[in-house]
Amino acid sequence: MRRIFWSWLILFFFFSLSLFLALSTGPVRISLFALSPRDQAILLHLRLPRALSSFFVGGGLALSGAVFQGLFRNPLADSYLLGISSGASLGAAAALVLGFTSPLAIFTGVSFFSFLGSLLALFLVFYFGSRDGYFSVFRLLLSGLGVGLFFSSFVAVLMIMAEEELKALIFFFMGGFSSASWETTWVAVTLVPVCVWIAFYYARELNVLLLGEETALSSGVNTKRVQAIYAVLAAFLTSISVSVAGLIGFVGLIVPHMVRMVFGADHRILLPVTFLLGGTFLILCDTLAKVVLAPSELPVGVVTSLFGVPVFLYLLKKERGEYGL
Amino acid sequence: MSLPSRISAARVSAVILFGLFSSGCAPSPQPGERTFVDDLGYPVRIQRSVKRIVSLLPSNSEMVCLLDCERLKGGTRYDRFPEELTQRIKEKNLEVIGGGFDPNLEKIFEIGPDLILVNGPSQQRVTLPLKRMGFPVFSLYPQDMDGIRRDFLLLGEILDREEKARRLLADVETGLEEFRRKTRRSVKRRVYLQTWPDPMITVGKNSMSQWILDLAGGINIFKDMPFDSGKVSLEWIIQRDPEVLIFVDSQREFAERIRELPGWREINGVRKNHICFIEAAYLRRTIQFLDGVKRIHQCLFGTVA
Repeated sequence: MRRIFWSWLILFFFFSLSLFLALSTGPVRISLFALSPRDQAILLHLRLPRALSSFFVGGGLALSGAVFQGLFRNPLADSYLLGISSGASLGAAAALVLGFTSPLAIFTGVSFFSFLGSLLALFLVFYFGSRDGYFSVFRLLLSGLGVGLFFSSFVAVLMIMAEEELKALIFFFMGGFSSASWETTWVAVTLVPVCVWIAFYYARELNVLLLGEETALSSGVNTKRVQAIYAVLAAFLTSISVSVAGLIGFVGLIVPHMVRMVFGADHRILLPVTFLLGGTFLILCDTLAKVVLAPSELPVGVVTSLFGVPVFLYLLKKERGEYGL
Repeated sequence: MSLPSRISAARVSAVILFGLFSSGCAPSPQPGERTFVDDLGYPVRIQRSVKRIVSLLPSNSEMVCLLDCERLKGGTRYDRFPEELTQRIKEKNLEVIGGGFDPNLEKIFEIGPDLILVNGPSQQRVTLPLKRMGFPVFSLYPQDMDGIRRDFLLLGEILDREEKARRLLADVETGLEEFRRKTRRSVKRRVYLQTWPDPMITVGKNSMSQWILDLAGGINIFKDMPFDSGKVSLEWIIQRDPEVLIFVDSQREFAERIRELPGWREINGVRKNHICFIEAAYLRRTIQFLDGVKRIHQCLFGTVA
């Protein structure tokens, strides 16, 4: 227990540090303790929504990656496993190339249609992945593969039609928070915590599920229901994050593994720690993305792999077999 | 597949087979041929009287058309300039062979060009079969304004329109001189030029737009960005505080909105409502850049030069 207490303390320290860095770093010099009206505008309307978006998107992606890895018992699973990202890409590409605008003023065209596209993909994946109201995780996997490939080919057609829009589309594929505002942030700030709470609530059942479906059934866990809840939840988290920030690789794949290597595979600890670490990690990466190539910005997806992979490889080398590799 | 295209496919494959065996032992220039070195450094043998040109790049189509539009027989679906060219496409005197990366090779074969103008390295893959078939593929790939001038003169030489090329260039130079004389002033305006709103994309150091902004009397606030174009954040724009904001193409809605958005209001140019719009075409890579320069100048200083 002592170890867990200290780990939480360290995690919270890093979270606060990264938040502080994100809020105090930027082209305009701001002292957080003596704010002019201009500084206030920059802090409240630019840096704060940006930091919050990156936290909730990072946390959401990492959490959904952890859930998929547990659900499919596959270490290569990540948040984009079920082809949700291709639905989002199709929505974004349609909005950019065909010039769709959002019917709701609180969304931009790209985030509205990428959200819509990802929900459509989510629906189709679960529709084709189920039989008689039930679905097996492997059926779901194949259905996700099919739907993903199908949508991707439409994205390719749109990319051929694109001229000027192509660059914007490429930036969407690499993800980023450079135009984060409260309009793009509120979705993440409101919906992600709800999903996270549900995920924590069923964590014990997910643990039992990992022992095998038969064991789980015999200990009174409704396996089908738990699987369904988690699969929808993880896919929905991915939808939210893609509509807020485009595609950001690596977070959903590697962060859960890092946490497992250090904290073990108990989902009651794994899920919250993964969420917090994923969020912290993405805040840090976004802060780096702001400064590395200034005044231009790096896509945050590039930073996540550039700085995350060395840490991951270091942990991999240090791991002494407890992780079962 | 329709009959004509089946026939031409057969012809193409025959020529490709022939090409496979016959290439590699290129004889020296025949009488009536000249050798020119293209922008990739390849010596290319070209007929003395070039009559049928296919261009795979809008800026090359434009240059050919300025010199002698009749000889341009194939262009891309993106060709817009000069006006004469659009007219010729409408009248079907000029065939659209597709885009620069997805040209219809059979169509090019049917046109039977004696000169194919291409971009630099990025179009090499598409043009390999054309080279194999024995068509003279020539790369015009200017990197900057000097390159554009040089390539225009080279094209003039190839088309035997040297005089015209020189005259056109001289006209541009005179026009530029005149513009400079009229607009001689020490003040320069700090400009933010946005080519895309979400994410916000602007132009950097090596772009044609940067060059045009500079001539027009503006200072690109992101001229230290070491690429043609890149993503920036609002905070950087606030920090650089431009006096003028120029939006490319249809960003009127975006420009309307920013007046109400927090953050944007901190910018000098937004507060003074010094905002203009310009079509991307005026910022293209061309020797006819003066129109763009004049438009930007008018936006910056409110006076016509």
